[in-house]
Amino acid sequence: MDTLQNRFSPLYSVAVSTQWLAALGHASAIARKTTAWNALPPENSSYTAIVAALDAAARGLATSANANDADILTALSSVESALAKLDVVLG
Amino acid sequence: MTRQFCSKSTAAFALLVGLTVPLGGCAINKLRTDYASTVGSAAIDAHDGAQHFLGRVERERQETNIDLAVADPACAQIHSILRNTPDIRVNRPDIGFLCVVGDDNSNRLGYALSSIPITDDLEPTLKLLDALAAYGNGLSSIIDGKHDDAAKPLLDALDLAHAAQDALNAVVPDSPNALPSTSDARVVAAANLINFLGELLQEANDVKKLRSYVLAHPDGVQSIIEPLRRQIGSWERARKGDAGLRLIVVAAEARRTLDLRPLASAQVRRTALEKFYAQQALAHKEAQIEPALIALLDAVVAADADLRRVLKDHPNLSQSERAQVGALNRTRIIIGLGHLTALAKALRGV
Repeated sequence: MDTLQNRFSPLYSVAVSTQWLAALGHASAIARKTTAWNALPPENSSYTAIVAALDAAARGLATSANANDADILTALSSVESALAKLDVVLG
Repeated sequence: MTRQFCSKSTAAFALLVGLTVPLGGCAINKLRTDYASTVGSAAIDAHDGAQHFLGRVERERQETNIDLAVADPACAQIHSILRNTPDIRVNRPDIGFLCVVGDDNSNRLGYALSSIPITDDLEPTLKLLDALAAYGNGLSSIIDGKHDDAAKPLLDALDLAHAAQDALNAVVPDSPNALPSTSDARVVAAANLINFLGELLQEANDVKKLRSYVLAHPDGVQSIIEPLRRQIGSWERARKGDAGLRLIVVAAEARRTLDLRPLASAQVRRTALEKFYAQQALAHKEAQIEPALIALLDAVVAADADLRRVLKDHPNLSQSERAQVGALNRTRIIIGLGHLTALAKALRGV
């Protein structure tokens, strides 16, 4: 979430901006699911993999933030995949 | 022995016969009341900080609702759907570029978004905060002496007069029983001594009350802080979600403004970009609040643990605490001797 918010620039191309804001919208919608977050059991075997996927995706995005459009779009695709995994857990 | 010294009757005698009894127990009591005071103020700080934070969470949701509804009327519903992919092209429609048009809430095209106020949802967290504040106030009121009744100053004055009389009678057994004038140097010196002892006594009383108060709250603040920490984490996540949505609004507007043809004026383009960067800076700044608040909560837990540790009969003091107690003992011995000397000088002429 922090990477998506802090690293975005409106000077990115329309293609990158669109995908970036799509990921930010997805992450924001997930973050607002207060009831679902509160209902999460404290331990679940899937958490480790999801956290790892989110961390890797955020790192990848931070690294590619100054790269070319193709690299940024690839990183954003990883972010979306990680968010989709989180979405499944939250229901 | 040290606890006896902190009690009223033996304390005066102990000082009069030569101040040979150690002041250790009293100094530890001072440490205990200091720690209780720290817990009290830390709990109240954390309560105030958390209330401020929750107020900000609530306002962020309102501001998000406003930003979305104004930017795209399709978002101006109690339940709307945020598009999977926002349409930020320059020729995008004015309605429906962020949210799905109409009342299709099937989630096929995006993510469910509720604009219902979160005031009621904040209630459990606010109740926990009330509990934390009550605990802090309970400790503070013991230390501040607010629990005593209005008669206490009169009782103190009475005790003081009796003590002065007793002291004078002890040294001059044949003197008349009538009380000397309150301005009499001997009475003043005795009063100072009794005041000093009274302070020690007060600490002993406070520690007794602190012990029973803390016993009445056996889980300490952990039972309040842990759920509070989780709930604050949850609200911080929601707040970041709102901040993200607000950023999308200004980002979409900035991108579109830059792409307008013919070009928008330089001032319009500048304003659009400045609005985006201001919003981004605000989001970054507000993200600092929650970690600071968690640190405040941690401070309450640590202070509470310290208080529980030193409230034991034979606390295991750290090196710095021993030094603190030692310094306090030295100061008190000097003060006590000073009062004793003053009393002896005043009585010499009787």
